[in-house]
Amino acid sequence: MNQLIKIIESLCEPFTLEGTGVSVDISPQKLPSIWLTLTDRWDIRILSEKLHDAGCRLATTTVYRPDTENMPHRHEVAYHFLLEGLPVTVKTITDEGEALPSISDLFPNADWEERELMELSNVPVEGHPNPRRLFLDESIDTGVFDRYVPFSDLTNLANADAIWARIREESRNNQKEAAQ
Amino acid sequence: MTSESYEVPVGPLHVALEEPMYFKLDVRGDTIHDIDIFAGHVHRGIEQIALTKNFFQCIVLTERLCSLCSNSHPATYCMAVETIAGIEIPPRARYLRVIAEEVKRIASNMFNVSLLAHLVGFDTLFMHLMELREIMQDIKEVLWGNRMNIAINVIGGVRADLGQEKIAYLRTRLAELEPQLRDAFQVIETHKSITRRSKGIGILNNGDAIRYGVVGPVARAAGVANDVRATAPYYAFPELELEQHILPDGDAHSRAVVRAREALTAIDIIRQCLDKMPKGELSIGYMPHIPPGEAVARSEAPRGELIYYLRTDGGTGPARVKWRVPSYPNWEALKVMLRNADIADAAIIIGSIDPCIACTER
Repeated sequence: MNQLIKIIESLCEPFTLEGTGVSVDISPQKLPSIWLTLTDRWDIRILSEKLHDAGCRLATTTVYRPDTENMPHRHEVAYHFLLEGLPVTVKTITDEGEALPSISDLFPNADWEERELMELSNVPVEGHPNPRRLFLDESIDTGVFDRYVPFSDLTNLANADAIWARIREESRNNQKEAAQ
Repeated sequence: MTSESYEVPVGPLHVALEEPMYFKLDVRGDTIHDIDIFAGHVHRGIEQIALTKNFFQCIVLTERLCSLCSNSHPATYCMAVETIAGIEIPPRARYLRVIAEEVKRIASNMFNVSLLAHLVGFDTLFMHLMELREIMQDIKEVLWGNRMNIAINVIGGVRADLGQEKIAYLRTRLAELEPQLRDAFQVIETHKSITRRSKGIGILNNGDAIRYGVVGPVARAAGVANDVRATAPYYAFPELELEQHILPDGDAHSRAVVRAREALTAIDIIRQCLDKMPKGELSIGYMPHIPPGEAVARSEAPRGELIYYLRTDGGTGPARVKWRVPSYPNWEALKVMLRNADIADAAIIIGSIDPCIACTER
């Protein structure tokens, strides 16, 4: 595992945000995990190529807002890579309207990840081969994860209550009509 | 056969799929030329619901993401919380978590393997495997009080112990199951009714399996050894012997065989746990404060690697919790498996990734 850590450190160190560097956390289970934040969000493309060539796979991506009160339009996108059993989390910072480059040509499983990123957070992804919606209908605005309206209210299952309320109402009306 | 191209819809409601997903197949003659997948029919927005819950409520919430791997979610979520809080769970809890995971793995894998028998029309075997699977359902009910959501995880350990009586029951029922399961899986591996409909179809070769980042039995059936229990052992796995099942062919049959063999290996792992499990505490016994931080936790769910990212800000609940389920990367690889396949094999190939839509559309 130490050898894997050295490989990742040497690849990532040139891209890290000044003063942060590459950090290695060890879990209570004694499992290491690597973390870094990029200086320039476009470097995710170059670093992804290097990680790809080193044998990494993309496990997933996470988007979140690091400081909703002071910077409500800032997002961080964390790319979780894996080199064998070693997780490598590369974080990028994007402000309102700033795009990220697609890495789905390197990692085909990034296709769904990037589509979900776009509809959840409204972070544009440039160069995505198929940037249509993944889970949400086209009629719903992007950035649903950042709104006060619960995301679950916007998804298809959320209509279940409304449907049952309507069915109950119709059923009552039918009973009234039958009684009359 | 004609050279004309047809669009054939499979799903979102389809007799061969337990859950809704829409596949648009571009078919020429009987051959699938291209495939497009449309998701979003049952998305519940659970990741955002999690942000309105506290750390303990999220254990209950994550257990309800999926039925077949319901234990993997809260267990991996707890692992992420424990990593941030620096909590080392007691040794007995590490073993009890493995037992729960492996019991669920047997039940989950049996479900998918039996579905292959159903999809090829071998319903006697399907019914037999589902009847055998009832032993696993009984085990869950007797050990933890429920047939699906067993609710054994807490932050810092497990909720329920296994006493001598329950351990004896578990051993007896596994002894009853194992020989029958070996016989039934032998039929899956060798019977012509199964092999002629699943061997050589839906191939994902080793290179594509690596490129698409597939996980679980889908990866191992294509020669990719990425079992989290072996590459980054957690809970009690560093102290257990794990036989890995890696096959070279990458077809639908290999995926079923890997699941069958992993179910049998899970029986062995449970027995090892029962032999080696130390006495002691079940959990840390208090509600810990969760400091600000972030963590990645991984486990090998029945369908493959489950990964949780958790971010905390010192409050009472997660600032962000994201999980990537094993089915998620495997969907995209279906495009490779289905391309140039016979339309009649589509349902078998889709079923061969053991797709979980409840997990995907979280």
